[in-house]
Amino acid sequence: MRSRHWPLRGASLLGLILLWAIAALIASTPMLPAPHQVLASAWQHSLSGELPYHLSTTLARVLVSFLLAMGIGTAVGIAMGRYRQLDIALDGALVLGLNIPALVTIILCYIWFGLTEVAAVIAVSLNKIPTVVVTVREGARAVDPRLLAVAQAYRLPPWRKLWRVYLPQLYPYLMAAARGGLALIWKIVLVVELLGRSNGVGFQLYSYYQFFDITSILAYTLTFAAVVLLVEALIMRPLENRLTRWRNA
Amino acid sequence: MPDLDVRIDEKRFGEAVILRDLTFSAQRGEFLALVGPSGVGKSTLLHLIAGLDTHFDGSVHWHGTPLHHHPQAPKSLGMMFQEPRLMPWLSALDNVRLVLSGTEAEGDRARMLLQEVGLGHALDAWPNQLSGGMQRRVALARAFAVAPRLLLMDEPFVSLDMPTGNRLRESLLELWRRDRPLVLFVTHDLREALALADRVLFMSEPPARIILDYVVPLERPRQLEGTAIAKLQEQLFAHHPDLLSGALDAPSESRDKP
Repeated sequence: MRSRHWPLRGASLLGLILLWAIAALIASTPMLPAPHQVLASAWQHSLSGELPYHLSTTLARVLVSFLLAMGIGTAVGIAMGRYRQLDIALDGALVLGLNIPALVTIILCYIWFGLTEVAAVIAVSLNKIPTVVVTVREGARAVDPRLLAVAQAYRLPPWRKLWRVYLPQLYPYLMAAARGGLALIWKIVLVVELLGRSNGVGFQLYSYYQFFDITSILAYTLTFAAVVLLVEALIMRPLENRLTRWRNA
Repeated sequence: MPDLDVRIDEKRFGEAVILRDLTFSAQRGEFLALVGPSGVGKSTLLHLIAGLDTHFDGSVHWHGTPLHHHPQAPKSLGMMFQEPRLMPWLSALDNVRLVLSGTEAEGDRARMLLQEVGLGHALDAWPNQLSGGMQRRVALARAFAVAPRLLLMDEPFVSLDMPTGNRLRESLLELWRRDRPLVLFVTHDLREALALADRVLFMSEPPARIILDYVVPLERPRQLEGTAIAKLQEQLFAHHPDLLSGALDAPSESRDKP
């Protein structure tokens, strides 16, 4: 089913690049470099080892923040979906968390915890946790009590009940949270790096911004976007297909 | 000492009293049917016995110990619900293995049971690929997989066409004869009760109690649509015209033998 979509995806991507190339040709200014110039720049930055270093640093931060946000958000979301009192108690904090600008969380974390790696990761996670909670809470509310009754009647051990009866009902919601999460987190990680780290893609972008080096800015951005696309295609989508294959049977 | 001893003093939902002074006991290997008007609390009663609902006054004893504190309770209970209640994300085989420990022998046992209920060809099918009757077969295999000593069945064959229902009832009796669990079979269909059970317990209207404990005087095998069962049903109605509406005037008659 998936393979049928590839030609269309590829064509759409190529079309975008073509459009960009034409625009660059017409504008013909250093403010809008052509695709091949950006590609060459990305290649050079890669050869020097500089791009891989900053890219992997950023990816590591994304990964840690992502896992932290998903773990905490899922646990809190399940608890809020399940216990009415807790839901009411935490709802105000949740709305607050959803509406605080990312910038505020980042600045406060840096001030309170110092310009450290821990502060950076905490700041990013804090921005993502509320949206994970909202999505997972929705799923936890939709859990089918009749299937849980089966687990209870047969006295399933807690772990098996969690993995085989409870969590599968949450998978669609967890996948939605994970996909949205990846997109949001890497955007916030760049801001965090720009404001308080001395490495990573965000830090590099800031340096190139000061030199108005648009080619390098685009080279970094597109390389990162390509990595995110790969993660989506090679990890997220196959994972989702695997988890929901019974639906399409 | 009876193997199963049920004494429900009172069960209420809010203000409404559903069950009151409902008592009965049964021996291992017996097949009991619980019959009563719909909405009378038959499912509630099974939920109490299964331990799915622990908010009631009274007790459920298994071999003299409260069932839900019984050390062997986890292994002794099988249950079938009105719907098959299979996990849609698990294959037929994995749905049966779900209630077993993961050992290889247990996997073989699950496979064997599915073959016995006629699903040897559909081990890897997802529930949504199976018909309603086949899904119930998986649920039946799952119920027997735990080698239950107590098997609770809540109108498990409701809304099936007659031939499919009959085949499932046959499978059930076959497995029951072999493993001899104590079966509590809830149904609103008196003929189904008479076709399957050794004893039929009739429930009154709410607050429900047992108004008649009736020993079915028929040899097996029995035909659900056969004349013997039709005659028996007539006899019962002649004796107790209001039996199925749950409004029997006579005091609880124990082990009424015609």
